[in-house]
Amino acid sequence: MDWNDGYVADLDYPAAYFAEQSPGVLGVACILNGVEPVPPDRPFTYFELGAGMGLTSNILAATHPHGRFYSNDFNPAHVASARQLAEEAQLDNITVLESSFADLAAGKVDLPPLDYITMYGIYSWITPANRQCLVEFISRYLKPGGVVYVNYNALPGWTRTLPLQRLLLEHANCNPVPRLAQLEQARDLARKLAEAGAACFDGSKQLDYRMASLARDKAGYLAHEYLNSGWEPLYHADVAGGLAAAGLDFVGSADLPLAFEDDYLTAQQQALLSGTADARWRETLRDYLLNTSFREDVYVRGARSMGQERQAGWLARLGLVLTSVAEAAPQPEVAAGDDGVALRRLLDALAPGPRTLAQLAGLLGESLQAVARLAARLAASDKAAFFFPGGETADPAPAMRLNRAIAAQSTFGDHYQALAAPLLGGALNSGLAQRLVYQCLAHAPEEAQPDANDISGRAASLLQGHFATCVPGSAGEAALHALREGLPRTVAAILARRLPIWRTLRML
Amino acid sequence: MEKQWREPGPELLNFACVLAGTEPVPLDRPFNYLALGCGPGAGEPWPAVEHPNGRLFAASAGTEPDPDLPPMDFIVLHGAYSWLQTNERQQVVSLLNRCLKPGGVAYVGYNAMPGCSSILPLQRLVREQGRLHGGGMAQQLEHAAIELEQLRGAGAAYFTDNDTPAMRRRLDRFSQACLEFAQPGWQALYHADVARLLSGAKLEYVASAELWWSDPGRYLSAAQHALLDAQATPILRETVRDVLLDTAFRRDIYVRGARRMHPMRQAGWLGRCRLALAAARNEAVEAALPGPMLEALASGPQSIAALARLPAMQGKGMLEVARQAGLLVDAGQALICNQGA
Repeated sequence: MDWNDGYVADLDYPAAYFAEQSPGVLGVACILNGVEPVPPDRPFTYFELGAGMGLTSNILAATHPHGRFYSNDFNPAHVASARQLAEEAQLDNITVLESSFADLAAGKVDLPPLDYITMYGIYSWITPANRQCLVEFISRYLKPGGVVYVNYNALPGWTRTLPLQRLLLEHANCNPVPRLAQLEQARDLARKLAEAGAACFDGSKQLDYRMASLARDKAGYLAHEYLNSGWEPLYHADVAGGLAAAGLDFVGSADLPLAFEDDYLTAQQQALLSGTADARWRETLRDYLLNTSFREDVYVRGARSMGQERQAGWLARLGLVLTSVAEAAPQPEVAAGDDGVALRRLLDALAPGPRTLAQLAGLLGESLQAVARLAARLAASDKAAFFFPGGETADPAPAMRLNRAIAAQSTFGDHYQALAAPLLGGALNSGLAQRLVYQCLAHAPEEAQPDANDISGRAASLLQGHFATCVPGSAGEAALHALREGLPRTVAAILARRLPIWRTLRML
Repeated sequence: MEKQWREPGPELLNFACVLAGTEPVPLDRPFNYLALGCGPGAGEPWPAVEHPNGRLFAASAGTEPDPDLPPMDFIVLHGAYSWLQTNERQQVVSLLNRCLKPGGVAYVGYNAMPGCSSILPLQRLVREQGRLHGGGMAQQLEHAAIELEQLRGAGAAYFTDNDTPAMRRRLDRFSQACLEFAQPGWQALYHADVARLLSGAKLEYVASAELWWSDPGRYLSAAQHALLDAQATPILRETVRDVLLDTAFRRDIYVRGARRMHPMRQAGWLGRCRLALAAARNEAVEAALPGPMLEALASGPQSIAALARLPAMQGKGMLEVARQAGLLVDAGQALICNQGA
């Protein structure tokens, strides 16, 4: 077998920040589901598997100076990128490794016991043998009480779409052209078959959704989704069963609103679930009810349930802060019933600044549980974010160094699309214009009042590097032109509305 | 569903091979035919192959075969290959590799993707009952029926999102249609995987025992046919055909060392094949079939060459007439009763 075990290694996966992997979100997921979290304010160890270009790990390391971070990828280009970013930000608490899952499982790398092990887009994309390696790795290193985050393509939601992946993979494997051309030609065949009325394309919602994604999404993501030979959507029962060998108990979803069943299951559906004694099958039946196609599971090695009082104690101390500008936060959908009004009130209560859930409960006259539920909904739609006590006092310097490194790289490319936020112990996904403005502000004298015209002009000149490498006449070039023409307004809006959020989150 | 039980005899296997332009096994001298039982019913008697030159053997898939088995001209899986466990499938390949003569023909029927994709979670639901409650296949099915009703009653999205013909066929007759799901090895297979595994026994895919498959112009639109013909790689060609048809069950015929036939030899061979009306006929399906052929056969067995001389077949080549005759065979209205070799 090749060194990549059939895993797509020749197209870089786009670098993104995934908040679900942060200790904070994992802690909130534990608390909302009534399980003791790892105390976030004490020193901890963290390992990210399949970390790609290392954006998430670098951000988490920069925003948790008291944590010790390891990230691993088997693709040397990814490892080099992740190391470069860590060096540019002078992060001394992250180690980037280039090990195979088999070597990690066999204990060939010197590692301490771990508090967190996370992986994004790995588990259902690798071979069963490599999945077994991950279970052994977790079993070897995860501390009692330690947390695992694993997401995966899930059944039954993917079932009608399985043949699409197979068609693309078979076509690509029969077609000895470069990877990008393989993907283009395979998706061309799938499109033509659908247009020709192939019986397999029978109007299934899930399949239609994937076909739309195939037409729209970037080649890097699509190649990883469809052209890995180990690719296999999984039932929760099997994932949880496999991980049980490492002593892991399923806690809940990192998709926080799923902790509140009343919002998405009827009374009859809830009764069906509560009448199912086997925990793994109960959770799998939830997927039959929802036809789930993607899961974000949180596990704890030896989960300890919390009583309601202790859970309430944790909830009371959690912080909530706005992360989106008022204009970009339209009225929550009316379809959510009375929630529209309640969510609006919560957003208004956060306008003056971050608040704890206890404070918000007092301000709104609601129970802690009710506020937590609304807060989870705001967090899921990126309008607000939870944070743990201590985020206000953590040293922001490493995060600011990382943000400067990301902003500086943004003048040449668009790889890293997030900026670290020390208060959150995480980051905000940030568009190119925001990162270029950050670059201008970071190099302005400390006390200078930012001038929109001046910054707009400088940001426009920073776009030269992008124009130099884009294909003339391409959609990318058109997007750059649109970005440049809109800069005066965009920059003014960023300075007026985004900058205060950056300051609140201690990003600048 | 019912079709999977029509395991083909030597005449039909040969006929399908020749329709696809591949050399058949001569039946004018002694030949050996092995029926390899899979899954439940493996031990049941099945329509004996009656042929003056044929010797019939039977064995059970997944068990160590009799070391004294002679080399075989035909090996036919009785029951579905997809019901076997993975190691049993590997044993079948070993047996094919050891016992099938060069030029010999193998038949493998199996639950197939993509047509079964919507029902895989239904199968899982049945299988899971064994783990949860224990008990035999009948009890698994009873538990599954209860859970199924609860889920459907609660409006489970899996069922509303997968309202496919394959699903309806299973749900309408749940206890009969889903009994096979309780088989420990049950899996729906991609042709690509089956063909690759069998290539380990030097087998090449030649044709389907569904004779109507031999004429894509009948069942594909022009655009679909063009997409099928654009696939030069055999495995990809079948993959595309299955996407076009949403195939849920495949009846594959493989040959160990397939040799192409000259078109003239093919036409001559087909012309000498004789067709007879089946004893039990189904009036309901006859409307869609070539009527003049049925009328001609009413007076007694006919060679395909004779059928080609019917006024209604004027201007049609022997291959085309043979394909139309194949429709009568598919529908169970006629049998291939005698093959000149």
